[in-house]
Amino acid sequence: MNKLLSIAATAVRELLYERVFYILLAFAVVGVVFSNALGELTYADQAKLSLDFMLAGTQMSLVLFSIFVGVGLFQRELTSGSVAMILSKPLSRATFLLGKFLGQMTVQALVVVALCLLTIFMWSLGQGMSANLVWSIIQAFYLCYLESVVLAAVTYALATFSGSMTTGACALSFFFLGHYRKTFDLTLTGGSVWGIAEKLLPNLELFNVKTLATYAFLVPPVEVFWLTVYAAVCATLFLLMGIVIFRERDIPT
Amino acid sequence: MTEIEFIGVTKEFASGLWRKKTAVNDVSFGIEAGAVVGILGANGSGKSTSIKMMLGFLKPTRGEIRIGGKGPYDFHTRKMIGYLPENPRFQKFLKAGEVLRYYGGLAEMKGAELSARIDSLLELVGLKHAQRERVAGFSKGMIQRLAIAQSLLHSPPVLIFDEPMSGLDPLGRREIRHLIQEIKKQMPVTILFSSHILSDVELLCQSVLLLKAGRLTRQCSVSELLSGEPDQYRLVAKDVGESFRKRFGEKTQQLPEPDHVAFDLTGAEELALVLAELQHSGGVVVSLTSLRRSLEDSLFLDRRSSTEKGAELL
Ligand SMILES: Nc1ncnc2c1ncn2[C@@H]1O[C@H](COP(=O)(O)OP(=O)(O)OP(=O)(O)O)[C@@H](O)[C@H]1O
Ligand SMILES: [Mg+2]
Repeated sequence: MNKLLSIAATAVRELLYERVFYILLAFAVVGVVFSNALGELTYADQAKLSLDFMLAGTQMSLVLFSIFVGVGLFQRELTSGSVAMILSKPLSRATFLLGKFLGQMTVQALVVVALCLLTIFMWSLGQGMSANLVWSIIQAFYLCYLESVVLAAVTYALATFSGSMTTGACALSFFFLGHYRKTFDLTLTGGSVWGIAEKLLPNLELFNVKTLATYAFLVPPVEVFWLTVYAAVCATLFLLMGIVIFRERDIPT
Repeated sequence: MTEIEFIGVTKEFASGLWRKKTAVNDVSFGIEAGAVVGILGANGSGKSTSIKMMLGFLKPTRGEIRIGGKGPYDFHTRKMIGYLPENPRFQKFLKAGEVLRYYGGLAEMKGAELSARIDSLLELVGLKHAQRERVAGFSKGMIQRLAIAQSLLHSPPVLIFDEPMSGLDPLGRREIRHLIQEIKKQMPVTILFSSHILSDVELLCQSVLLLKAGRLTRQCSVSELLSGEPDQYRLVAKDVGESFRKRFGEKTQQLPEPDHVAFDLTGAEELALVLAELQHSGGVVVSLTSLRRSLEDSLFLDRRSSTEKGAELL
């Protein structure tokens, strides 16, 4: 347990030294601020649109964050060779993988909280706030976070057996497939392969409540609870898959 | 007691879709506890692959490895081993002291015991002054020392070093050699290290394993390895007289430096003869080096033939 935390803590520190972290953070902050400015210029309905836009920006940067930080944090350590000395210590490969993941999730949670506060703050300056709206924004951010946890788990699972480009590309397509499965279903004329794939892919669209939030609609707490369980189960399954592959594979560095 | 044991170990890598490449081929040996053993071999002879299998990074295709009687995947085995990889890398943002604290924690050390150990190890490897410096700014030699310190943290009874002296300048090599001798003096450890420098092995080891294209061709003591080896010397001299040149004409070799000539000599008698003659003719000895040419040839020539074979296949 101590080893897990020590790897997680080092991963957090490593992230704070990463340039990609600040680039994505800046991207998200600029997105929030700009889309707010956009909202101020327009009529009420379009203001709702701009909140939608803000949430979409946050979601996108979290997605990129999960994937690229996951590649940088976990996979780069495998390819650069620093993993050799770590794994030569009495430490299981599972601990290493989970430690890194835990570290990333911690930083990601902090980023989500910061962006959420920033959004609420910016919004209340421009448009005024109702308690309902605050809660629905918080919900939307929370669900974004759940989605990013699932995506990061997918990234880690992919990174255990493929290179950084493949991992990044596959994780991204995973994100799009997870969201637009219905659209794809139409275009691909519902072949049986797709039918199976659809059952296996987590439905990421479930986490998408951006439009609801813009109308200050609240998702019932029970549903949020089940979504949390769903995300936890998906992430656990992918992490388990990653651990099994990672334990079996050769580490050539 | 046998500390490290290979029993018929083979490692194949996939190369291309169907072809396989055998990096380590049916290797068996045993290393006694407390021994200092060198693995000698050319580039690509399978030294690193063998070492990575001991650490459990690579799974043998066939055969078995035992360290202290247990397999490489056992937790207790890892507690027994201190490992120095071929190209050590650290996370760049950590400072030297933090690296050791991190790795010490992973090796189940903590508190005052760990702090004291870190201090003494930094002292031992000569990095005390760099304790608070980031690894990102370290030279190759400093990284190597830090990596050695890291391997010693939990005082493991077995040390496995993959080319501990590679990439270091002559002074650095000597210092690392002294360091290994110092470690051996301080702790009753078994040390196994790989190298392609004969003289390093000669100075540090009692016995050697010779690897050639993945096969163990010899396991013997250093004196056995060197016996039967004719003494060969390279003598460099200057201001050599004309008569002298004539006499040893076929053996002399003009060096770029004006008036400097080199002689490759075999056997103590020839050396004595040349030295006497040189003194007589007023020449000055610049340097005298012992060569192990034939041994190095037998060790490394094989590599050329194997790459030539590879070229033919292509
Ligand atoms: N991950 C890998 N995939 C495919 N082939 C490999 C892999 N690792 C090593 N090899 C091959 O196995 C052989 C032995 O390599 P190894 O690294 O063990 O040699 P070495 O003796 O350590 O050489 P060097 O002195 O250059 O470090 C080489 O021919 C190498 O190409
Ligand atoms: Mg090697």
